[in-house]
Amino acid sequence: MMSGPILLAIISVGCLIVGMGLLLRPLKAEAEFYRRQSPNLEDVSARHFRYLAQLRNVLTDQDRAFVDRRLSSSSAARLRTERKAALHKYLVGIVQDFAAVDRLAREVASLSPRVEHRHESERLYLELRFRILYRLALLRLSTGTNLPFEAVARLTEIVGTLSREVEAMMTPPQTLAPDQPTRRPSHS
Amino acid sequence: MSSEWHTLIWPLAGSLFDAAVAVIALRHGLLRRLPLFAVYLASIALADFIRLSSLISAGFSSHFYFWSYWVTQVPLLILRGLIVAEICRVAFSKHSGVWKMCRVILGIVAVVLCSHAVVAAWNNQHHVRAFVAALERGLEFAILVTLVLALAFMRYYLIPIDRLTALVSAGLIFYSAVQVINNEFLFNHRHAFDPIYSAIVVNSFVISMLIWLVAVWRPIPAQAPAPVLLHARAYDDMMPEMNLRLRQLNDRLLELLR
Repeated sequence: MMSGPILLAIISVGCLIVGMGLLLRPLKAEAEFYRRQSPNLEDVSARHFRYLAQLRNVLTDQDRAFVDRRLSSSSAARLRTERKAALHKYLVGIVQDFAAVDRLAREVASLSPRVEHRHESERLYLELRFRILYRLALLRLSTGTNLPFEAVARLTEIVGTLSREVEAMMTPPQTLAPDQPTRRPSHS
Repeated sequence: MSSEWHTLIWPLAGSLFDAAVAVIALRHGLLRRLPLFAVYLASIALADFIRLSSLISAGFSSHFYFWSYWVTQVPLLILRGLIVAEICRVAFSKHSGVWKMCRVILGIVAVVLCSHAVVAAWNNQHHVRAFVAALERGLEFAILVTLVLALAFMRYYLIPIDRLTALVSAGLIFYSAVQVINNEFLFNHRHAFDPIYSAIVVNSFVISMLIWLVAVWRPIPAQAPAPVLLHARAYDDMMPEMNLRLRQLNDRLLELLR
């Protein structure tokens, strides 16, 4: 028979592992992105937000009456399932755009002669928060609840703006004067 | 006579193995890359020699062997802690900005855990074995946590770790993890797990030495050239803007869920 404190300890450890997993484990799309050795500019530019117009139909269901009238009920259901899968893929694409920006931010910090606690801790917090919110959004999608089009459009707009800005920033690192001359290979 | 040799054969073989690893490491240029780790490997060989000499001259249950074992254990333990600092310094040396930030966090963690280890040892000063064992337990935990945290920072900031540093870290983490797990969890049940307990404790160091042998088996290459650092202004200009956008991104994602 398991005693109270041991059971409590096991439950606490279990909760801690689940919590840490939710917080620290990179999203699947992020992990796929990081597996690539060196992302280039093409990776950083938001490709996914270009397809927002096509997603309008998926999210707003504007053509529902038309689809119901013209298709059999099974075909209409299949269409809706496929549209939901397309939305899922779209959200995965958003994460990849996010991961590209996040990776660039880390690289900039890594190559900077001075970093600030404030900025780094804030980015870490935002990254962890994004992972939780995104997982909740996926959960909501998987339970059959649709996501509001306006909110997805605004999300896409942010990612798009961010990516455009990063793209603009990506050019300077190659032309920026280094803070100090290139060090020779150290043999010590 | 044969039973005496039977008790000596394993310590003798272990000492020869440790000495061989130290010689290979020094011949392959470890002193240039990780001087403290090179000193540590040489110190292990020296400690083995002192312990073996006392074992042969005074026997396993003698006071002389007891003291020579525990007294040589303390400098080895301190050196292990210093190697963690050396690994961090070498790995972060080319990334001065991140290093300035991380060393504060790593320093605080290390100081807190080491202080805890010293206090635990102080409370066990009635016996030298209990004192060193408590110190060892606390310091191994400090080594493990600090090194894992440093590696997490390296991974987060995409700082490449070369083969040598990775293997040296792996050996340290493996040994410290086994010690911490044994001390914290198996110690209370050691009568029930005696063969497993002793097998893990004895072999964990041999496994670590094997990992380090793999690390130094080939001649150690010179350190990779340092990357060109960006202008300090690039960070100041980019980060607030990026964080603002990430904040907005989070807010919009939150809107999706309302």
